[in-house]
Amino acid sequence: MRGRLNHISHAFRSAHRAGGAYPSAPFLVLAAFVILLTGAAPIEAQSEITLVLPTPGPGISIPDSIKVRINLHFGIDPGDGAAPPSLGTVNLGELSPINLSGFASGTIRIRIYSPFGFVPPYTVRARTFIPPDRTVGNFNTNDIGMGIRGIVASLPRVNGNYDYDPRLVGKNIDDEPNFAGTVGGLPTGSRGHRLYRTRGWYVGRWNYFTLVFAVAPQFYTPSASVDAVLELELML
Amino acid sequence: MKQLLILTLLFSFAATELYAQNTGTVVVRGRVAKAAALRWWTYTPINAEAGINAPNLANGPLAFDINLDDVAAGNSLVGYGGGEVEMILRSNTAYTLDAQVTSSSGFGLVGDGDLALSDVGFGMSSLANSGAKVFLDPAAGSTIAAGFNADPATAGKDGDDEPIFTRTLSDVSASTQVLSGPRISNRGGIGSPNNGLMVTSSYAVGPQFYTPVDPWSATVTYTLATP
Repeated sequence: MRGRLNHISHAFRSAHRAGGAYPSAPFLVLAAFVILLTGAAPIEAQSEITLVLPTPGPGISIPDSIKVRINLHFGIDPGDGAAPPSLGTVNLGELSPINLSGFASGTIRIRIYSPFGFVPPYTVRARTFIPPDRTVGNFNTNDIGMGIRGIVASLPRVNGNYDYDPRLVGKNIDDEPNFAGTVGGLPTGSRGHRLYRTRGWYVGRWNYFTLVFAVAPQFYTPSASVDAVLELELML
Repeated sequence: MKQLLILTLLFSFAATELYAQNTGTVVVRGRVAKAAALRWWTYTPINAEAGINAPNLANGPLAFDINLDDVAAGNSLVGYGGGEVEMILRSNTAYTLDAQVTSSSGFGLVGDGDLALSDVGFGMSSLANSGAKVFLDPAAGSTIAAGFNADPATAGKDGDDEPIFTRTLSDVSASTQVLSGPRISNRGGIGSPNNGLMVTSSYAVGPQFYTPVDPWSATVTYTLATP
């Protein structure tokens, strides 16, 4: 008499439809793929910061006054003194291990516009508003890797902590990523960290840079939505 | 006059610097759903029963096959044939684990002298935290359903050499909750060896003079849920 016992991990019946479990059964594999597509596909938004410079005239080698505006879209002026406008939202999607990709990631491409055909040296700084959540098991802003790529500017010098692609870093044995710079590493005070600065005058109307964000899926405490707000400051 | 001009220029420069600072915001957003994972970890035979997972890698998806070979008394001289399959469970919220025999063949009725599902002892014989990245103490906080917390390989036998199991596969012929507990994992991913609950499932058959049958098999399906 011969016998055999088979064990299979069935998928996880769950009252929580979206995420009940790590997929091992066909229907959950399907669900995971759906999540994978929505959560892992880079979501790229493009926004612009508009520099309005005075018209250079005879004898004016540098501007005698500079007006800077930040617009969500080209041509839209929120008005002086208005609250900082949103440059865009990067939705990273699912951050639990239901997302089977190595990283949930997204990018936002920001352009700096000068209608006068040149861009003076400037610095881009960044800060956030809420310090990392220290509650055990919770997702926090230190889990969001952030880097700057694709700068188009004159002689840019990038802060070393953010001069990398967070989607490409390694992980430790617990699947925790080795990020250099994170959103949580930004200050919450009045002055942000310098992300990069330029060291020359750029001839042309446009400068660009891309912010890349990445999160490694882990067993964080469930949350319907986790947000981090990053404020960018452009200083001439 | 020259000093006034310089002073004016300085004020102008300072005002320009202040005015030149502008800001915009970027929102980074995501969500964390309830999640759980069940994977194979190790196998320990009672004697030398063959067992293999597919793929045969620790922490791979659970798809384990134990071959007890011949369980006829006289042919098999062991006290019990079977083995222990250790699984690793991970979750970011409370969980339940159900077991069910989802398919079987070769089993018959005890009254006819056949091998029956009630001849396969079954239990969750141990729980342990896998490492430092568990959330509090899930091993201590989890509860094995009544009767399932015994190792069938250590069950006693009656005067007819029939095992006295507390639970058998006949007790999971329908989906049955065998384990439940609190959140297991304190962050970490699917690949972490330190954020899981190690659960040992045990199976044992006592050799008897059953009606010959070749082969017999039973598939136990586990369902890990996050209610």
